[in-house]
Amino acid sequence: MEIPGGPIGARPLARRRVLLGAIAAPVLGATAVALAACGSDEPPPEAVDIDPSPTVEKSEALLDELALVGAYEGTLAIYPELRGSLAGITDQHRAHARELGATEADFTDLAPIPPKATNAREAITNLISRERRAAEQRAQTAEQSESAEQVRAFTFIAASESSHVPELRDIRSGVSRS
Amino acid sequence: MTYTQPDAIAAITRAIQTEQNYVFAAGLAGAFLRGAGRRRAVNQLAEHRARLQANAVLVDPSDVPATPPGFTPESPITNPKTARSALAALSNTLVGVYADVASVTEGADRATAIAWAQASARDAVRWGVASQAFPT
Repeated sequence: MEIPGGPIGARPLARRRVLLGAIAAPVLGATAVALAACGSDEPPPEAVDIDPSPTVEKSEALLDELALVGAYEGTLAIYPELRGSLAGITDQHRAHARELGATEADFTDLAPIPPKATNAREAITNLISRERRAAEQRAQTAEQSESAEQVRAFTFIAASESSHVPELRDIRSGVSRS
Repeated sequence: MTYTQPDAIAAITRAIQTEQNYVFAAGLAGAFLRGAGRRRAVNQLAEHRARLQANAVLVDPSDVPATPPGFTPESPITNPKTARSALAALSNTLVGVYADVASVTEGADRATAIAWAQASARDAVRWGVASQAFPT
């Protein structure tokens, strides 16, 4: 699932790369500079290039998207009767996470987060709270982003997560209280 | 703030045109809807007219597109189902439109565009379509 192109023109860069590059750049692309220890008689410190770490730092937004997937999976594990209603939204969070740089390994390693709820309705209420918070955070990230591509991508994600709130309310209204 | 860059003018102009279409569609759809749906459509007329005005001040008056004399929906609005479907489709279109506006504006203007993208995505769901990862 890709962010749709808009009227502003072609957007040739892969957004995943754009977002990763912009958010996780300190680890991905940075060349660390180490300064040699020096004393008063020693020559000025020399910059030493260190190879970039092979570890890719995950952005806060990506970690949060993965947590959302975990929360949905945890809810579905305990309330499998909700699968028909919640599977689509879970997939949308996977798409958001991929957009932010998630790999398939991230999903494989993901541990379901069990809901703190005594019934399915309460579990959905918890998901609504998570979605509302996520929508606010993505909107803030969009507001503060520097590149137009990031603004656009985070606006789409913020809008999608905002739309999950009325959808979950509808789902909750069809779930019995027992 | 008045935006003068061509990409900003293009994005804001498209927002104005899509809002004009939404106002026409909401008026037309309102004739086929009853109860809560009709109330929502009527309320949205005022809401989207306000958006039209707010968008218009972001560009030079000469760049503001004139209100067209009529509107032809992509698919005919002839009953409650097609009325809801047309408003849902236009609401999802507005998400992308405002994502574009957000990407070419700054400060409070960007925050407003993001908020309207979110509101439009919620509206689409309330008009009866499923949410999307990247609403279109």
